[in-house]
Amino acid sequence: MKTTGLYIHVPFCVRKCSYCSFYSIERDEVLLTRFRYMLLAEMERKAAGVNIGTVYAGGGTPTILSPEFWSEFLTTLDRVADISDVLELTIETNPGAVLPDTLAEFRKAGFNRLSIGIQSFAYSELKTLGRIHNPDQAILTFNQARDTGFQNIGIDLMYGIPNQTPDDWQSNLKKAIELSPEHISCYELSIENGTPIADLVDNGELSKPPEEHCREMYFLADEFLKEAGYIHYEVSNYASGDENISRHNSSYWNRTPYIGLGPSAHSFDGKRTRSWNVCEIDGYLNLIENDRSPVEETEYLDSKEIALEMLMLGLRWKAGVDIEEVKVSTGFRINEQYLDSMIGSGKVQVSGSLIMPTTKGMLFADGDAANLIEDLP
Amino acid sequence: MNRSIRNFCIIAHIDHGKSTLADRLLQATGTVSDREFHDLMLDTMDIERERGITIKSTAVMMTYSSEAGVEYELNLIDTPGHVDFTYEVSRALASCEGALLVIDAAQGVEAQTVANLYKAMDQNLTIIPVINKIDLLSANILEVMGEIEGELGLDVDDIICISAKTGEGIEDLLEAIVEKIPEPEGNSDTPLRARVFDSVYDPYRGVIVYVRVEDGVISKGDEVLLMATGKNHIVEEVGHFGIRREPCSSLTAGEVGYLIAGIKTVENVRSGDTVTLNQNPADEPLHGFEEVKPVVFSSIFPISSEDYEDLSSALERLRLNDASLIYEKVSSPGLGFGFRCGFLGLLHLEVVQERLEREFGLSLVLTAPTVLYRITLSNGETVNVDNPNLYPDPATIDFAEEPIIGASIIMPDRYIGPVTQLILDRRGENYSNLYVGKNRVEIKADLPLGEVVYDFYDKLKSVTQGYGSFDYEPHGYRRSDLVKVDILVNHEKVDALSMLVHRDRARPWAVSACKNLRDEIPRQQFKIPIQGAIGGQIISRETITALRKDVTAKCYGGDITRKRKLLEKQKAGKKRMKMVGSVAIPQKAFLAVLRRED
Ligand SMILES: Nc1nc2c(ncn2[C@@H]2O[C@H](COP(=O)(O)OP(=O)(O)OP(=O)(O)O)[C@@H](O)[C@H]2O)c(=O)[nH]1
Ligand code: SF4
Ligand SMILES: [Mg+2]
Repeated sequence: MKTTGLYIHVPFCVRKCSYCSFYSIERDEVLLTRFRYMLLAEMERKAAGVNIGTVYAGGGTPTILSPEFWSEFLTTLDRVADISDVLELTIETNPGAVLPDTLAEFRKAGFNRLSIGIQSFAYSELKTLGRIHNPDQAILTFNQARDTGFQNIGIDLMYGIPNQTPDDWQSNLKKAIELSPEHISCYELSIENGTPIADLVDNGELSKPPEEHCREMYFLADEFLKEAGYIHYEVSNYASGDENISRHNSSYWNRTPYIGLGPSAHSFDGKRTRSWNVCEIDGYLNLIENDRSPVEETEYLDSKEIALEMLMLGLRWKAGVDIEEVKVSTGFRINEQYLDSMIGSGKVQVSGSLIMPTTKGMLFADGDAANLIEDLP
Repeated sequence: MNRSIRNFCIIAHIDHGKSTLADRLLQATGTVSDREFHDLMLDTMDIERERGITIKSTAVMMTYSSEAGVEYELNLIDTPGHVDFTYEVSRALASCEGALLVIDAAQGVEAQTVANLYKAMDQNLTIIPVINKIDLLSANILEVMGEIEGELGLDVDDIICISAKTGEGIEDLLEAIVEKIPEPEGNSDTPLRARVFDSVYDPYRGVIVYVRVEDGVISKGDEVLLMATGKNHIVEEVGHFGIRREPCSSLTAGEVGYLIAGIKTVENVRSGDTVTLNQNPADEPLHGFEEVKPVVFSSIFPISSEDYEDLSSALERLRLNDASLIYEKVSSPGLGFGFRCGFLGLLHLEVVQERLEREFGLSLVLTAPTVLYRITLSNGETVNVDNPNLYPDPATIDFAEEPIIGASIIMPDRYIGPVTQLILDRRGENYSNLYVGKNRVEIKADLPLGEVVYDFYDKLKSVTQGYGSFDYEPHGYRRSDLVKVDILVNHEKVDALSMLVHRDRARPWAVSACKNLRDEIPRQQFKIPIQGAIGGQIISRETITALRKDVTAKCYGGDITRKRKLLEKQKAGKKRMKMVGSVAIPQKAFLAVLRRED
């Protein structure tokens, strides 16, 4: 029986980071109060009767909302939806955005997994990223989380930060494994238009490390973390064991259903319908307050789009993609010649009709997915 | 004849205000009502309005009652100023007894002012010098009068000062037109002779033939003979040019008008041909026009090979109204089927390209424009080459010659230095200069046409801050150390980018072509070398590095849509690129290469 993931987007942060292009705004008490009510209202409407499998409070910084709120949220969820199958309840936080004693309360409210946006253990790198915390706070937050009973903790790290060398990255990785988190995400910094860091890059004050260094850092993480016992299960994600693979995020690669709550959150019915909420908080609040749907747009995928998604998502994680399944469910066959060239260049391994990307192959998931269904009707 | 006729055209350097003056004359004579009027009435093509330039001559008839109370029929022809379209001016002149030579009060006499004046004088036309734009603060009427007298040798007393913008001086000009321009001569009793000076295609009526009747009368129902083509036609309609066509019963000697005779394509009507009556033909045709020959050649290919048929019919349609456009089918190993086209100049090429893309919705790739080279082979045979891909094996070539033009450049003397340098850079010879007025100099030099067609005019404008003007005429051929430069992308020759150039120019051209391609071709998962070569010798080289990754790091909050749409967009973008081997080259990469910079 397929369960449904529940994602809650909390678009508030203590302060905006210099590279951040997500929709999030600095905290505002009036908006926060309205937001709490509307989030509950949206959840009651969308989750009613649904068999929920995972809960993921992301953002932004969801711990800006109090443990009491989350407790109420999860209690209400229990009332309106079926949560008997829920195994994983994650909340994201950022060092410096949560007090030690409240961590325990989030645990008590029902979350059993914490994801901490550490990004770096180097002071200068955190400064470049415009993060609010310093390395000591990062470590402190992690240790406090452990102490308050979170047995499943993930941390986010970032590479490709201006001035970062592969050696710098390696010492970040070293510090990370010293903490023994159950999950590590390693994202490459991408400079997005309109962010403060992009301005600095444009006028030459900062620049990303050379591409070959970024590539080296990707492989470095792969080697280093594998040696430390982690599984590299998705292009940016590592888990200390199969049981610690993020169940919620897996539903994205798996194409199983999920419901998104909050501004700009995305939902998917697990078949061919995707929809997303309006992006800005004001619009979102106004719509729900007027008893209207916050959904901005709904799209219905055609077979070719489904095929493209299956390939693109499958090629970015270890589980891979079953090309027979692609063919049966969409009618599209893949370009065998291109697949052969992928095998030849060591980007995928094949087992029956299952193709699974290698460490190298994951780096080309998007381009290869497109090439695999190129020239087909 | 119950009315007096005056036939005249408006000639000038580009942008001196011909079409704006035509607007004022149309209004002053009440030819167009205020309600119907809009700016640049006679520039009817979209591209003319958008670029603010006239491309095609337009004729229009006006009636004017002079101060003395006499009624006149005025036939005006507005002409283009750009050098690519000078042939339009020559044709208009042949239909007139007079010409208004318009000179911008702020710019003074420029190269096409002189060139067009000479053309008008050759045909013994009465010239009325008109200083325009006297409303401008920068107008320098006295100095321009001095130039008209000194440089052009015209009588200062004949000058009329006007502002085509405000309408000042228009009444005086109308009086001068009827007083000074002679009534057309010609005998309506002798056999019909009417000169075709233009023709346009009308989807409902077929070809509309523009004529100036020199002798005799032409009426509806006449059976006419086109003397050069030898074809007969029955005249369905004759008339004058109003803002719309105004049918009438007949056109008599001296009149300008049109005839419609069920002619299907403009190719059957040659400009310069003489129309006579089949029953009572004239003994001799009128003198014709010099044939217009294309000077710049380029191949046009559709980005998507499925569009070939559409391109073919689009060219056919354009040609209906533009007999100077010539083309023939070509095929290229890299680009598939397309057309080799000849143009009157680079502006003409741009106009055709723009119309094909805009009016017919086509995406095109154009090859580097080339002039017509003359190659003498070792066996003594001479071949003309307008396409780099047909360049003979260098081992079989004795020598090559390139077309030369005689350029005349007029500018304030403070720019002599940079202009002389520009001419030397462009391999100019037989250089001379001469003061033609106070502080104004005319430079003459022979230049290879191939050095001029690209961006010479833009460069001239920029080194003279807009004050330099340029005119040219063909001056035969000259020997040249010609080489063919090929561009290879991922070791495959891109034949659309091959180029014939002088040996001294080969390396700089190849270097900039490779750089432009490097910047415009999207990276792929493999490394792409880009090389410029003369035969087997590599003269420039760039490399597009391989993509090191092709995946979005984060898939934020389950937003798969954005990622997928990005991919779909890239794929769609690829459809608008030309595949050369396994490399997709975007249209803008081709354009970037042709945008020569040096
Ligand atoms: N101030 C001022 N501007 C004028 C006058 N006459 C024309 N112009 C401007 O000069 C520019 C060129 O005018 P056109 O009438 O298009 O010139 P043209 O000679 O027909 O140009 P081509 O057909 O391209 O050779 C336009 O921007 C006109 O508005 C005038 O008397 N005074
Ligand atoms: S904490 Fe995350 S969501 Fe908030 S501003 Fe920083 S990067 Fe953006
Ligand atoms: Mg004009």
